Amino acid sequence: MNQLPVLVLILPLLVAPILLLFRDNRYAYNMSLGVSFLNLLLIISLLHYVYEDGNILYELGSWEAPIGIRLNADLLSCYFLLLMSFMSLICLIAGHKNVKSQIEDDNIYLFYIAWLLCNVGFSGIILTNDIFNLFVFLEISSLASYFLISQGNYKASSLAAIQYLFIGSIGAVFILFAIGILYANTGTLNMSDLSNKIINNNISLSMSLSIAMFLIGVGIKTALFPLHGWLVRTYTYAPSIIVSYFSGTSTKIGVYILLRIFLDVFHSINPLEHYELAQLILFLSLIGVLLSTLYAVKQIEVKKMLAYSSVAQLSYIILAIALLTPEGLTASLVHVFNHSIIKTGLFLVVTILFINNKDVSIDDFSGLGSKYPLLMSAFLLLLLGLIGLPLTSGFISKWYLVSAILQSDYWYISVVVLITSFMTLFYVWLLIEKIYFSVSVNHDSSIPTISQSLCIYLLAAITIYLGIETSLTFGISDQISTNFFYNTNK
Amino acid sequence: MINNLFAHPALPLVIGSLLIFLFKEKSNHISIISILISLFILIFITSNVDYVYMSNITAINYFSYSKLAYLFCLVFLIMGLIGKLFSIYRDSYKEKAMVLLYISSAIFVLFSGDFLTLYIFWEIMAIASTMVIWSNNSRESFSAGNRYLVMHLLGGMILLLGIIGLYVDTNDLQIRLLNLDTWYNWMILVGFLLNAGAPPFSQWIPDAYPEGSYSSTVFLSAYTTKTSVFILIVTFAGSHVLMLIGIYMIMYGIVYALLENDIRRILAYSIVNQVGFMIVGIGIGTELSINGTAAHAFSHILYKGLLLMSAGSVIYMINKRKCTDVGGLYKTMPITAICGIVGALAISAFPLTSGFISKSMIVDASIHEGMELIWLMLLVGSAGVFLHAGIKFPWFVFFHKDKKIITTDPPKYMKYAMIITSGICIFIGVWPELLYSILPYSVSFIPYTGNHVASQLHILLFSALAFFISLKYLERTLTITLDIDFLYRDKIKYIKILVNFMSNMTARSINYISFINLRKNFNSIENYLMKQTTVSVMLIIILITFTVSLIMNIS
Amino acid sequence: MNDRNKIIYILIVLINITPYLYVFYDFKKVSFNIDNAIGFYPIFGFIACIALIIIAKCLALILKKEDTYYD
Repeated sequence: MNQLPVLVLILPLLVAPILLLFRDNRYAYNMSLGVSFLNLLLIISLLHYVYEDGNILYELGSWEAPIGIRLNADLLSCYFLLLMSFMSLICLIAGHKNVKSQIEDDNIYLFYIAWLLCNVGFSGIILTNDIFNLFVFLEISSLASYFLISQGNYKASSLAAIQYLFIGSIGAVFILFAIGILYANTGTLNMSDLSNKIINNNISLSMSLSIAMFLIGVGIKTALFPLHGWLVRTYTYAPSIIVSYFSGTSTKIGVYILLRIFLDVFHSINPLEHYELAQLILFLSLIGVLLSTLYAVKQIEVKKMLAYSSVAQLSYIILAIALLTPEGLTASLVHVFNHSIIKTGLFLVVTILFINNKDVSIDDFSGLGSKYPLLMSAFLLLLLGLIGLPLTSGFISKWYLVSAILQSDYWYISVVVLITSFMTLFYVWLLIEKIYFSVSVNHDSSIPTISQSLCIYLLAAITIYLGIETSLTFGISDQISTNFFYNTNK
Repeated sequence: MINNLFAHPALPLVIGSLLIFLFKEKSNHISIISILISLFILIFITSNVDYVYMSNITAINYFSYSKLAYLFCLVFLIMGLIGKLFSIYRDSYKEKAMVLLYISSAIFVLFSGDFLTLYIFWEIMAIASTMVIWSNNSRESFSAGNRYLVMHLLGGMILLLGIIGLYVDTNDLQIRLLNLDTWYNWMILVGFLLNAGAPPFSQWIPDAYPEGSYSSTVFLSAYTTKTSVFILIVTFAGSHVLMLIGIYMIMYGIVYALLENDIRRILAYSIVNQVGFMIVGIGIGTELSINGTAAHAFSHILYKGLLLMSAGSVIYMINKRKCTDVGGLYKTMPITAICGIVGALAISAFPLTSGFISKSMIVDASIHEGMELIWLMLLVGSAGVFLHAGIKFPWFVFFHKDKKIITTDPPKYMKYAMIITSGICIFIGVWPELLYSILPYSVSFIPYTGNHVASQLHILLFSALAFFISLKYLERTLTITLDIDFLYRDKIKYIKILVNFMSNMTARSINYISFINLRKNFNSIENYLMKQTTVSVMLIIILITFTVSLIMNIS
Repeated sequence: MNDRNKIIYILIVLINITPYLYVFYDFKKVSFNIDNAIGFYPIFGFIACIALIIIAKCLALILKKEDTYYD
């Protein structure tokens, strides 16, 4: 049991070079599928164990902390790990046909290797208890994702990858700098040790500088308001399957880093409250929500529209965190899970149906309700989840979000939530109208295979299930936020 | 020991709705049988079983019985049965399934014990009724349904905000009497009032209801507004602001109906009018007035259904819906005319009809409370009702200028439906104790006193005189009247300009490269069809996961 | 309009019954004094209707448009 965290990390890491040796595409796909599935099973048992018995600490190479690197699998980590591995598995299954047609044949096995490395990076970020290790894994996942993004068959794909590289590196550099300052000030790199060493009356100028740099780095990663432009451009020009994968995972990794650093490492200072940073973040995410929903309404291209909607939902999550109440943290964690599932499902449908189209406009969806009735009804369910109709998971997260807002000091934000959910209804309605109420039928779409459709149905069914039985999302999130706010020793 | 779930009268309707998608040819049989089963369950099982079901998560109480709910459920099911009889010849099975879903969600709302359940089924009711409107398959019904959906979802969001605020503040979601002293109670009130057709949200009733098919309007008129009346009785009885809102609705309905040309729009405005009476009754808040409101809702569903059925028969037979196109139909459609006249008498509270015994309760309640101004306004309303619905509707449709249209009475089931309903209206009027026995509070009111009958006859006679004297000013013209919908209809181009402007400004000020693509105009929709399998599969997925999780919760 | 005139004649005949309805009136049970006045209900009903028709006509000046306004 104690070895589970490192197994989760090591498994894809070991398989990836093996795949490099056998340059076989189908073999690469099968192995990565197998590894993801195994990972998922391991993580489910890990989650079970951690939920019952508390967190697992594992020292890499038996070097004791704080010198050595330690992996800490606590409830927050397992929650995010579950999300990442599940999304990875689903996207692998549903995207294989896409990969075969969009990406050049020579590169497919490299594609899957990069996918596995990206997985390793994500799992490493989530599991590690050492702050520099976090940076290392962040760089691993970013490098892998630069490669993955550049594989799209748009002319602008490589350009988008380079842009993402620049911006991602800038973010990583900020984080590195902040880590360096922390190390210089405290002499340790272990997160639990850091949180012990940073006590309240030790706030120097350099410490506040490091906090600010962390904020910028994390802000770039989570597409906080002024730093969100890269997300839209990336999502438009990357291969669709990568967009589906990243919409559910890479931005949520940023949320994880935010939570870990600001609520865990800096736990004793509570810097957000101290410097009124929280209000700044609140304000920024509020503007982010409004603006991105506004941009989403006027979009014609579906992937851009969904990208802007992702930015809006992410801003909701950050908003809920910035409220600094336990209910806010719970609401944001619930929404992380629910939104990932919904957004991945939506992007997957676009991926499945439009393999060769580069720009998918709303008009391309016309008449598809009659052509693919089952698939479109699952799509409709996911869209309703995006709006937040009751009985879907979107409603649950909206409920918790609004109650958290009303319980904090910033009740007027709930009006903004109301307005933006109305605007969300608007652009979702444009899609639904085209799908079901259009005269012409678009015959350019590709027919989904059984496994692809099954993935979508699974995601839609999970949305409904999480809308009714919330013990998975709400139960765990509640436990996590109670741990954060009411336990001083972890 | 009967399982709680199966004592709910709405379940057979849900199952029936699903079965219709599977067996499309038998939709008539399935619908009538499921309504009969529901009636059976309601009358014999629901009132006897021990009912409260608490889920262990957030104290959700989805089945809570009350005498008022029994009354409303009874009249909902009776109207459903009559309406299904009337819609036998309609060949849209989608409409029939959606109507069953609509009725079932309304009954779920009636029996819900906490606000979350109420909200869930409130939304389902809005969606189901929109699909009923859309099943008419015409361009106008498509756009009217769109506006209806947007309006109701907006009201749902306001209601949700109020409910969440209520939960956050008081941590108790059970449905109970609320005072209007907190912001969230006001939002809940606004959410309920939007469904009832209160100003400024009253335009959706005359906008959307006449766009349904000839048979679906009968259903549409009965459920959304009366459900909100029910929930207002339970949560806001006695709030005096409701009296003012109700009086405005009464006058609004009369004035706009006088100007209206479309047959069923007149009746739709008259729905707003009558619901206004009910809301005044809720606002007064005494036992007598709540009794009156409940009785009025009962009789209103029936006589409004009757009026809409006779209008629907006219539309079914000759496909004309404007007053300027019809006239002189009493010779060729006698049964329809007689039933229409019975309905008109009932709505005007003519003695010996069901309208008389219920409206006089509300008026008397205002007298007992000493509210002179309210009472005067109610009298004005009573006079006006005869004017716009009691005489105008039958006169312009069945009498007046004879257009010599060649037609006959509608086919037999439609006739039976109308005759049965007029029979019920008169029966209740002649024997009021039957209705009084199921009212929530005990009744010591006697409708047939000399005062009541004499004053009512006075008012009615002289309103009739006023109508016929000023007949030439009331001639129907080919016009429509603007309303609050002027603010939001056809305004997409302004919204587009506004959205573009705002986003361009922000894009430039942040110095990003923004995509300046104007939205293409909406395509003109000549014909559309919502594929049946999609909706049924969606419903099946929802229901399966719902039942699975319910089963896991129950055991 | 023959129809209309016929109906007005019928109504005037019926109106002649109006005073006889006061036989059933229980003058002690009314609660507002104005109730008692002979002819209150008839005159009030008549004037209310005429007033409503006038209000409707006045509003029509502002609000009436042709049928095809929204198309």
